[in-house]
Amino acid sequence: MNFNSFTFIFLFLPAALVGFYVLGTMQAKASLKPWLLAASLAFFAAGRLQDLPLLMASITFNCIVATRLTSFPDRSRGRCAVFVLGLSGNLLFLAYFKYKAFLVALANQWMGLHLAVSRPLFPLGISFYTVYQIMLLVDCYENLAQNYNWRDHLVFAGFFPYVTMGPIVRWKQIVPQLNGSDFGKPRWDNLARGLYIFVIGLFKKVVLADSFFRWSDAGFNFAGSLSLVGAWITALAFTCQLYFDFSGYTDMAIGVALMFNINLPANFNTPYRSQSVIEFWRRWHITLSNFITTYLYTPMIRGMRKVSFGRMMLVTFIAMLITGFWHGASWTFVVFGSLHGLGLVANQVWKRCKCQMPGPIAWALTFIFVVITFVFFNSRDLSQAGEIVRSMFSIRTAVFSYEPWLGIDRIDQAAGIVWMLLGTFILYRAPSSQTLQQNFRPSWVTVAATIALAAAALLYTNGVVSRSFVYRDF
Amino acid sequence: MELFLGASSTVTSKQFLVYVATGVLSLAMLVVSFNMRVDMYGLFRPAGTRPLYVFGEERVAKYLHSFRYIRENFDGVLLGSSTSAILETKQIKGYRIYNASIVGGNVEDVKPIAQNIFSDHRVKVSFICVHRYLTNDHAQKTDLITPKQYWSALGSPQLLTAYVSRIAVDLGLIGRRYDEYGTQYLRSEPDTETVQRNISDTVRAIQAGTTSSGNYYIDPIAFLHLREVIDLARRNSQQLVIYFPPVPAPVLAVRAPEYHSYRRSMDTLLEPGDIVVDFNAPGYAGLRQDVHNFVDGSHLSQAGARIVLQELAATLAQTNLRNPAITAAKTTF
Repeated sequence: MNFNSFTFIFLFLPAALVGFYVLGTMQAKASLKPWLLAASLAFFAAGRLQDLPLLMASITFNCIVATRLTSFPDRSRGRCAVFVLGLSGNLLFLAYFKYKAFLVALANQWMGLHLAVSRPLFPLGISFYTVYQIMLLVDCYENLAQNYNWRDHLVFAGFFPYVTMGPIVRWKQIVPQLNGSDFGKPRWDNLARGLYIFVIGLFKKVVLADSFFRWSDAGFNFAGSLSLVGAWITALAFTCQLYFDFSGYTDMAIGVALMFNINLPANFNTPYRSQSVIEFWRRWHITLSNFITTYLYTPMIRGMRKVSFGRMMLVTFIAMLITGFWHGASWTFVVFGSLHGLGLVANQVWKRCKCQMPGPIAWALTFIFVVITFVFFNSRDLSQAGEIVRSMFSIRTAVFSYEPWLGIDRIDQAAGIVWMLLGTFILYRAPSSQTLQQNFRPSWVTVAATIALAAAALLYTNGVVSRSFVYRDF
Repeated sequence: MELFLGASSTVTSKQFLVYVATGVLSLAMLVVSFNMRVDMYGLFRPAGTRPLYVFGEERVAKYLHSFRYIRENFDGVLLGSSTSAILETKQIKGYRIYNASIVGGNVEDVKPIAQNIFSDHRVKVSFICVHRYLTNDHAQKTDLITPKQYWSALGSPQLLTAYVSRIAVDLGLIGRRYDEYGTQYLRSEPDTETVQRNISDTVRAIQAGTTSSGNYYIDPIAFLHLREVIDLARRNSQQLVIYFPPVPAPVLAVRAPEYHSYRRSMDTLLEPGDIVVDFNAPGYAGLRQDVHNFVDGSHLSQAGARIVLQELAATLAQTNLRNPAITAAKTTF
């Protein structure tokens, strides 16, 4: 089940909310968490039933490890051993279910083996729930997960707004809210604010992202014969599609969680306005950036006997390489991560030199860099990415060819262009979803805006071009 | 900016929720009622005397027409890809044949249309244009042909596109692209010199292996699906006419062995009683050699389409509706 489906919007979400608040008002507070857990498991099962056992196995394993961790005294050997076991278990779990096919193909290629390679879909949400449970184990080990108990762990790890695609959350961000006095009490302001943000996210996804998708998809399918302008249109269309897709999903997740009186951390803050790669990662997939900084970069730096600028840059590069690989088991993601690693290193060196650059030039360079890296992100292999990037900087072929988009009806193209112009305005001029959420006050204007956005979004949801989320398969 | 920040606070959160829910629900009901009343695709009530045209996406319109409009208003159907899209079926005397050919469509696009038309329904005659493109692969070219499309006729971007297209046609801003029988109008044709160049280019590209024009590969799954389509049509039609569209003589010349092998495979789908016309048989050499009958290496010109249609109509006229066991010559190559 996706957030952008009628089943979710008109059946699942209302039913989950009604049950939640009925239990809340009946003073049946003890039933609230089981209700949320049941709703979450139902949501996950409706998404991909065959992956539910994996989620449950992961949660059970981490519950046992975290419970054991908290039972050992600080800095004891047992605590350390359990922690290493837990970490290894999670990494092996991820490696087996997400990277097995890639690693086997690699072994076949490098070691001349002939092992069978099967490429099933990645288990739903595996990258996300594994990462935030690793964070939980680290927090337990460091005594940062206060009042840990396995009942809260079940709800924390399975909560449906973020279990499949994030945001990546920490124990301390969620669990205190589950145990707060407001939990389960109907809060009309949260419901209104949540609905408002949910509708904005739905609009971003089904109207804007899916409109950009038609252009980017047609372009990527013509990768081998794109013209210079065609290659740029393709790359730019995907850059916008990815932002509206993922930030739209995040807005919906934040909106849904808010309806249950849970505040989720923000994940995007107008990233395409960044004037450097460093700034980009502060504004793009913020919860992942926080994870990289806190749980990858910092421990690696701490582990060094002597910290130098060079070593810090090496660690930065490695952290981004891992980040790229986290996105998917493919060389394209390795290149994506490496490019961003190199971008960050170059940016740090530039800062160290105390060089200045005019804002518009800095913005243009950053944006072009991001656009190029996203070509690797969306390509099925390196040769496809290479073809598009080559076309972006080659004038050997025609400057413009209309061929890739011939399959889209002219009127659809016109409508698509209107939405894309609106999308571009939102990217560069409109306030971020965070600002909108913070400044939200119920008024006739917001009522009208919400109805208009919801009507357009529902119309598009009913269209057959409505698609799943890009990050759903990560 | 006020729109985004919601400055003028005059309602409570509870009122906000009620107004939004009521507003969205009312708007949805209005849109659905309007679309059911207009009924662009003849889904919700009989089309009666009003002809329904293809507006917007061809795949969407023809797929939705196949639910009810074609079944209730036509004697038969022509299934195929772009090679049969301009065949003016309106000209076939004595029958109302809907041209359900899909431009750029393969058998995966044709199959759902056939399933809709033939489910619990029998037609007088079915034509199937068997072109290599139908079975080159089994991937649907778009995700537009899906059962979900039925409900999108109550309100969706595709429907909006169709409305805009219809308004533009009604206002004379753009020309009509299809007739009420689903036949696509061929607006302009290239001159003879251009066609000759197109055909020569195709021949060169085939020889260089840089085009799919001469690709007679048969995808096994697509082949099975074509068998299903033909079986379905055979079971639910009083007569079934299968034809192989003409290929320009120079193009056929460089792919003769492949075409021969392709035909042998396709013959396994045929049964006694099927009327089969192969426009690549020796008897139609004149048709294939005349450059005026084509616009490029695969598609017919209007003149070519007229000849093909006349031949199909004549073949049909020779057959006896009461005795479908017509011995249509399985033309040999």
